[in-house]
Amino acid sequence: MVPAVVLTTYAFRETAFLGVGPGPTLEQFRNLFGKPTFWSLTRRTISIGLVVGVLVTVMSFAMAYGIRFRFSARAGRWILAIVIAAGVASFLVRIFAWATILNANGLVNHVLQALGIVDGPVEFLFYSPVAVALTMSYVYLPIGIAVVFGALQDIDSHSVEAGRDMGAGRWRTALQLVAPQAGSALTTCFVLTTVLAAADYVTPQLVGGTKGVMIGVAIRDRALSGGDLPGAAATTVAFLAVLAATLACTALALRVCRLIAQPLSPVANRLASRVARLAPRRLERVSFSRVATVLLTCYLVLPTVVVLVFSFNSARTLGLPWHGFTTDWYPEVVSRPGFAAALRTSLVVAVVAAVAATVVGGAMASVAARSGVRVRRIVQAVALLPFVVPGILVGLGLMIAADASQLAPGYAMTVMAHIVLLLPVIVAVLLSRLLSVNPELAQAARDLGARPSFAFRTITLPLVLPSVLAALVLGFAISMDEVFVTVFTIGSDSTLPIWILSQARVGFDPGLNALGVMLVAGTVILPVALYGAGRVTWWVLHGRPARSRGEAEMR
Amino acid sequence: MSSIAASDGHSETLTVQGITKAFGAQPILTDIDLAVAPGEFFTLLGPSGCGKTTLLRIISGLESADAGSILIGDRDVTREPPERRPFNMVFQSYALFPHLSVAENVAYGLRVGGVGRSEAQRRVSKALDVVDLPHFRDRDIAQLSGGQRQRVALARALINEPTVLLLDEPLGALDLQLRKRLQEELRATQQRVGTTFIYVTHDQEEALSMSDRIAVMRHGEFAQVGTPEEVYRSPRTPYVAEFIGETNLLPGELVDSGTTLRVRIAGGLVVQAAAPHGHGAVGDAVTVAVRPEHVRFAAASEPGLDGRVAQVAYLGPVRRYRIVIADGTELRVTQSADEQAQSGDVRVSVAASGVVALAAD
Repeated sequence: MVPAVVLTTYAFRETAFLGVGPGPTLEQFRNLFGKPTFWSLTRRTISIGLVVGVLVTVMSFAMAYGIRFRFSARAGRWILAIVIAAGVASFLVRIFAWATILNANGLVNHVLQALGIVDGPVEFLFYSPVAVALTMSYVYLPIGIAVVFGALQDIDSHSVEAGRDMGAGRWRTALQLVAPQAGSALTTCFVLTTVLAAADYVTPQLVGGTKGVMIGVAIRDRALSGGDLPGAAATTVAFLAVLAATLACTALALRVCRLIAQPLSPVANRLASRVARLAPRRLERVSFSRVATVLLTCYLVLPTVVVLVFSFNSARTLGLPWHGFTTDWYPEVVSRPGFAAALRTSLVVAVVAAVAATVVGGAMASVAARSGVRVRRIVQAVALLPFVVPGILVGLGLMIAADASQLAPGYAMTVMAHIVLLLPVIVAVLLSRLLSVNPELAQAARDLGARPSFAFRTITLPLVLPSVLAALVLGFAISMDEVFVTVFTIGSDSTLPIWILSQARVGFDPGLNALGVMLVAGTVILPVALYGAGRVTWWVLHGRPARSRGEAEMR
Repeated sequence: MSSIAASDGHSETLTVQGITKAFGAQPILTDIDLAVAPGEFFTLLGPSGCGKTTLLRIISGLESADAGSILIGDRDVTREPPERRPFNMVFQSYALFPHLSVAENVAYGLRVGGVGRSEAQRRVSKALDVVDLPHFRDRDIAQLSGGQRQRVALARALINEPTVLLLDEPLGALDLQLRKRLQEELRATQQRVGTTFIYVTHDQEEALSMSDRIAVMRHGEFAQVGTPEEVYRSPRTPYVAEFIGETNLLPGELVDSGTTLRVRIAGGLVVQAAAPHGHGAVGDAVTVAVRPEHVRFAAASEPGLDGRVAQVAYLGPVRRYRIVIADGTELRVTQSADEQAQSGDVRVSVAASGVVALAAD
């Protein structure tokens, strides 16, 4: 919240050479609104945002519906694990994947040319708004699925069965019975992904080219390259205002549509059932959401595989043709100047931030666990903020706050920023664990003669320990991969993702894919291995496996 | 701390004085007084929300009362935290520590008290013998069945030799068959170790079969305290009569309060009634309780009530009838299934020994 407030105050200041001029003034806004580039950028950004919002929402519903109602609980868990893995896997890698697929030498162009559909490379696929929208839809799909699935989980599957029992077809069940129940989640999904996409400045930089520039890029350049903090702040505020207005108008339009449609709904219903009767029985038996879930799962997995495969291509360019298998890219990128320093910075920042956030978060969670339902609700809502608030807002806000308090960007500020980002997530993880531990366990320990501190040490702490480790790992992974905020706080240093980003600015080559593979390995595989090692150590020390979550959760 | 239980021994009366508790404006317990003798199996019986679990938790120290005190012998423990009271609890969820083995769970109270390893081993073995789980020492809690968990919880709570053992619906989560078996086991264990048990349940059959005394609770107060036979045969109020066993509650009028109490009930029938809890004056309205097994089918020549069999259910040892008598009152009747089944128009009479005149609720 604080960064947003600080940011807003700067928006009303004048730009001065290398600093901040006097205020308050509306000068910035007068400048902005007079410029056609602001409006064209805003229009393009919001259009792309809305397209991404619609695409992600539709895909999320189809897939979440499929996972929830069309697959066994076991299969559903596996698919969900893939979704989460795709969501946690490095942000940059997911973008590189699309660069590999879409660029002039990319897979899509090669396939199209091989099939004789087009003669030369299709340019609009890469460095274009289309590329940006496609890539963003992919990047933000896991978040969308998580939001929608969360809501579908609460819907009683018996009510769906009852709908089928009373003769509603598959489509009708999904659209008339389930979708309305998940209405607010679908809205959340749409708004969230629209906002995240609109504020994204990394994706357009990597795959958008000049035709795909979005306003986030302009804001960042203004703040970092131009040093014009008030200008950047004003642009952010003005853009967010336009975005909010657009979303409000969309909501209003939808409501009006519904009002108009309401008297027509019996007619529409009759039409729908007539159409349904016309549809061949065979079609009714094919589960669309099932097919969609399978396809979208592939959609989530394949690009990562592409990154892995093409990191072994010996060609100098990213994409086809395939010149031969080589592992040379890995040592090559590692030896590039700056890599070692960036890696060191990233490791230090991630370890310090994860440990600090887990310690502080643990204390906060144990206080929250003992307080009332209302406090817990607030904590759980706040935990979503880092995912909901665009990083550009937090990053720019922190940069401005630092500027106002004469702090230099760099290590310390990045660590602070990451702690702030990690805290809500870590508190949520630890709180849900603490709440799932039967409170009677600690009471039983007291009843058997244990003082509170002894009961905590011997009963509560061992039971939440797996989650403490998980929180550390999660914090480490998020911090290692963070781009949006770090760009603003790191100053002249580089973390690994920032360094990779600077490499990508020079040009794409398979070395970037190799970097991406290493980043995924660092953020996901390394912590998981550590976690596994921790459990094995426990086993050795205690002579038996650590209890898994499910067993410990019995109430 | 382990010395607390040992020094107090097993022969002290638990006294509860004027315990009162409210959650906000909602009264949970009102002025509860109670004395439980050493070695007694005392049951708090009532529907959910009557305050029985809260009373148990106040005795244990896990919750505090707004007013009143808890004494063990002469020692006032009202202000002492749960870990310093010589009481141990068997939780409804059992609250077994999932990360510890069976033996470690049972030994927890000893570990807290700093009992030596070999001494602890010996006492754990003994406790597991008492609950008939001698070969389960190294099992994980997750590997145990519901009944086994219940027994581990019992062993864990008994290990410190508490003066009073508190049990919060310990059989509530088990199926009927197992529950019946464990009821007998629990009662046998209690008689063997001689510890005072305070047992919370909503199951009246469980209460009747196990307890030395029962307190029937309602809205945070004791409706009646007595032996199982007293509360069954001589319920004080309609609430108690209905909560324990099946009963017919019949409105009537007191017609004679001489050496024998006589009440005119539905259909003008005058019956003899007992009034163990006092009675009003002649002419007063009074409710009488008649157990279904005290109503019998009568010959047409005997005094009684005419009615019609509305429903019969065969329950194995008995048949249960629902009979509607002439003025529309319903009567429940049970009769040994060995007797001839009845149907159509019947005449019923009431056994003199089975009628109890009740006080108002």
